Amino acid sequence: MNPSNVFQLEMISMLNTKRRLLLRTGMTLVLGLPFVLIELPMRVRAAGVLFLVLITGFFGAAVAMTRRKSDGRWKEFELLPVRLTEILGDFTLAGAVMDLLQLAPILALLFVYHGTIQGMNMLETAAFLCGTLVALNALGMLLGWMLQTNAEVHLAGALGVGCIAVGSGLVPLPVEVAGIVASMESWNPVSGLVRSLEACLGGSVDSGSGWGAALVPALFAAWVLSRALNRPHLR
Amino acid sequence: MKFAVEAHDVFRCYAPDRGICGVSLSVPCGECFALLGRNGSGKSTWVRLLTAQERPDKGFLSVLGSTPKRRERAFVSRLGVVMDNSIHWEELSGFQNAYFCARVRNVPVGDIPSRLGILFEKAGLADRAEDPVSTYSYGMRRKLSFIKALVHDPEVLVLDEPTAGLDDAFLLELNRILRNRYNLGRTSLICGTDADWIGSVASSAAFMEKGCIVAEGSMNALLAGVSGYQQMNVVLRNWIRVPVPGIRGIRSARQEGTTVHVVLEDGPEWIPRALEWFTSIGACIRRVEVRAPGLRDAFLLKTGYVLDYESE
Repeated sequence: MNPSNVFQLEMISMLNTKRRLLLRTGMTLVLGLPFVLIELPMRVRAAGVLFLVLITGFFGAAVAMTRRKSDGRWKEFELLPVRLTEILGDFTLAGAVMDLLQLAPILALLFVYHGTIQGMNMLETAAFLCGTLVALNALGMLLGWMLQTNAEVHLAGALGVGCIAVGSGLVPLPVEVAGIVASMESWNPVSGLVRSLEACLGGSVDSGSGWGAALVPALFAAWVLSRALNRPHLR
Repeated sequence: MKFAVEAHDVFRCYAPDRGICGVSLSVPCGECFALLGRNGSGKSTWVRLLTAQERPDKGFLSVLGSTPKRRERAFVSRLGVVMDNSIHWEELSGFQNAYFCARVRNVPVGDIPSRLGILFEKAGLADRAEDPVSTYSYGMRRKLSFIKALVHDPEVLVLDEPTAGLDDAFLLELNRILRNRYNLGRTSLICGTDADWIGSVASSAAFMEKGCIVAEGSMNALLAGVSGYQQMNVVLRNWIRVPVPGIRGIRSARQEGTTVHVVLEDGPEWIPRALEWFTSIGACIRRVEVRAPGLRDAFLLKTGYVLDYESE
């Protein structure tokens, strides 16, 4: 397949290297398996998987962006007639799709062994997962864009993952801070993903978002399809 | 007359003596224009300004009638750029890399395979087109950069250090491509240090030194400064100290081991006289090369780094 836009370029580039693909998926699986196999409280299980989502989504996007800058590929785009919004959008989407591929095996195992297959909960989890991965990739790219070197991005990325985890209520917090975090939960997709994962794993009934939750994965799929099939929009 | 590049008093300084300091140039459309300068003289800064990767600190710069603006699609589409470093997507094949560049530059889908086929053939990469770029050598990566820059037949082709890492066969091919572009009225802007190759391809040139243009004009005009001389290299069988020549016609002589570089006045009569003088001082001559001065001599003369012509 020959790439016609940045999304296709990134996807082919990532999928062409079988070794890297196997390593990425394998490492995520190895890191996530303890949260599936070991007997743990449901909340810890969900938080563990969420940390994997943060690392693959946010940290991975930040490192990839800094690498693009340091190896000159980002400069190369300045010499190509492609809009900046198109480049950033395609990077974000390609990153989110790759993260989904990486996380899919561990999420599948988690649901098979511990989940309650309840349609609406699954839909809601899918919606929050898509939204979270897109948001984390966009944030990670922003961080990677601001930094210069590999060392900087690794340090700042790790700090960033910690901050997002704290801000999403993944770790126990003092009452004063917990109140602030709770007030932000309604618009924080990571918090939403925690809630929906807990609901799935705990077997509680759906949280009431209904079929509206289907809209996000549908939009995500439509975005992926439009970039995977369409040729670039040119003047 | 339409100009591909117009610059008036352009400055882009990183530090004193670094960057571009008040460059004024006009390059008419259709020229094959070369900017020749030593390492660190400001050539790459000039390329980055032309391709909108940087903005001038002050002064007026226009490329194809408009001010270069970063990421402006209409502007970037008209350029083909080969920078001094080759950046590709390593996991993709050479063909996939070039295909992507062709697509985003609006080359009709049906034309891409044939255009790329011709360019890969010319570059001698046809049998490696489907291999990942990560398996390419330095020279092959450079050639791929040329393919990516030429695939849309740009109005202006900008080449930074084009000869670095390339084999002679491809340099000859590149020479043909640039001549063909010149004949078709397409503009090519070359920045480099290889005066001999640039002299064989450029229709006009400028010499840059410490961020300033020290000479500019057509090839004939630039060579006029050195056209009254000829260079003779005399290789001796054994080393002897060659004294300062004191005869008419020899402008200067510089000895490097058993080789003596002699600058003669123009005209065939000076060659036997000079050889007679060498014999008279007891030199035993192994080989003699005589050549007309070229762009390199003109460049060195103007930038003052070799004193052959001034040492009399």
